[in-house]
Amino acid sequence: MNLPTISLGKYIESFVNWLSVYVYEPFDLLSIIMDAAIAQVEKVLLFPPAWLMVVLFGLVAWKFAGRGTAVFTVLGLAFCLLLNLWEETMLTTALVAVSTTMALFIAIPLGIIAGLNNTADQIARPILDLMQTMPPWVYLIPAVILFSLGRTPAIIATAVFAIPPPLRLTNLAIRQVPPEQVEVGRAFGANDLQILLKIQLPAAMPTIIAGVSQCIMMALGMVVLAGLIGAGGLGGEVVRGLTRMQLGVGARSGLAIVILAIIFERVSLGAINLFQKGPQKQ
Amino acid sequence: MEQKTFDVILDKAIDNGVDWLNETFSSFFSFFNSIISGSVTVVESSLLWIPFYIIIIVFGYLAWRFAGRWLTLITVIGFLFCYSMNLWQETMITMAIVIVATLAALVIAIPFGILAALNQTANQITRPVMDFLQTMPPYVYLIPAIALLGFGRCPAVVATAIVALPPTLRLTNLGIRQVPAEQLEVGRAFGASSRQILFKIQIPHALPTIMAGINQSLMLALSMAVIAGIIGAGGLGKNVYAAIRYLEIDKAFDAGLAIVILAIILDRISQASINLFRKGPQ
Repeated sequence: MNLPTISLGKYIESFVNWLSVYVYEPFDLLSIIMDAAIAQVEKVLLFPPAWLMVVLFGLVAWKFAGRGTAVFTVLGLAFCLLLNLWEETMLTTALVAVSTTMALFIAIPLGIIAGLNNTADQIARPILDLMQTMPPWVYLIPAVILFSLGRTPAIIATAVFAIPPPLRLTNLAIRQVPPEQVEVGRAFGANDLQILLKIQLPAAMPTIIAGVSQCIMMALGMVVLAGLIGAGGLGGEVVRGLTRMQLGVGARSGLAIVILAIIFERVSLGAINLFQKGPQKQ
Repeated sequence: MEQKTFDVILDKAIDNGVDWLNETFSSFFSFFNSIISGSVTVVESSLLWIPFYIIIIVFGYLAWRFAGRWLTLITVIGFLFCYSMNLWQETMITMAIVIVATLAALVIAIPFGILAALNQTANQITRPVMDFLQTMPPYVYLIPAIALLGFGRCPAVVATAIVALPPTLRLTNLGIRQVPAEQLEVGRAFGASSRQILFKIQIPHALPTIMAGINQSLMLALSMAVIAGIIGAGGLGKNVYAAIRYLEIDKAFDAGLAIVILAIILDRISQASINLFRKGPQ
């Protein structure tokens, strides 16, 4: 029994190839901007002496998540320093920071639109489902073809991968604002923009922050995978360890990733709690 | 200088430690390896031995039985699509890894989940462990797996099973804790022993929640089975990984599509079977 061979991938391939041959300028431009942005963030993170950065991160953790997390942050980062992985750790942090920022710039406005408009929601939903079931690696390939190897395709692929959770949660949060609150706003004669900025967004803030924290964790996971396409950082070290059977290197960078993941998770959970307490005080 | 020596010493220590483990417990690891690889091979070769149309019919029947006409249509068309993309063999290998890893995860997760539900100390021990397991970027698990078990199917199954463990354990625990106290009282009043209460009241009542956990485990296992392509697990993950190295968009996209199809089919069928269980006891 023979079925005709179908390959949708062929069409996608010729489309991406067409893009990379005829429309390369915007991609080049984006590539230059992204490289510059990541270089700046990296420079800022690596400019002060490492111990100062450790203390600064500790203070941020203390502000958001309390004493325990602060102690863990300081010890964990000091351990990364001791593992001789400081530059890689900071590069990974920079990659996560830039790609999360980019993902949020796209996800939150789209999430608000999907939250306010049912048609947009119905269009977004299946696309998000597809994006979340696709294995994350698949994003790396068109990114590499359009942006060549290095950090830019890693950032773009990470940002695309990290978009769904904040988009979904922003959408959900806007929909969950009690209709009475919106009614009160209308009764006072607020226009749509005022209702959005002064009622819906503040009420939705804790859920949106939860989306941001998921976005950060997914970005971290993906940035590690992006070591495969030469993004460098801790992921690059893990790939080196796995493919050359240098288990020491792999395990060491794996440990640093674990530390980074725990710090990010604790701090963002702390931020969620902070925001949840915030509006109740008023 | 001191930092350099520390990380070099650590690398050496890890390498030596892994070597020592491998030499000392080599018979244990190779025994373990042959059991896991053997069971994957059995499942895989039986899935490949059965003609593809029979597998499609079986899954179509399951879909029809659990969920109705729509899902049957999706299942049949989806699998035919995988076949016509020339990815049938890879799809079945991935499915075999997912099945064995999920079963291994369930064998560990369900008893421990029950234990954690019945015993407060066990609960307090498992909770932080599960938190830890879920914080890690999944691909970190590949490092110890490859260190102890080498390349191939076995480390892939082990890493996949670890990733798939937490949801079932958590939801088994939750499901048993959520059984109403009155029902336990009734059992006790009729003189049932703790074992009878467990098997005849608590587990049947918790079954829908446990099934929800199994559904999540299955999905996590699928995503991890694909990532494990990097350590030689074979199947669709191998195609995606090879496509990344040679930058072949078409192959990557086709394999990605097959993964999405497999994910949709496994997810919907297992979700629909939850509803079946939910209807059952009522």
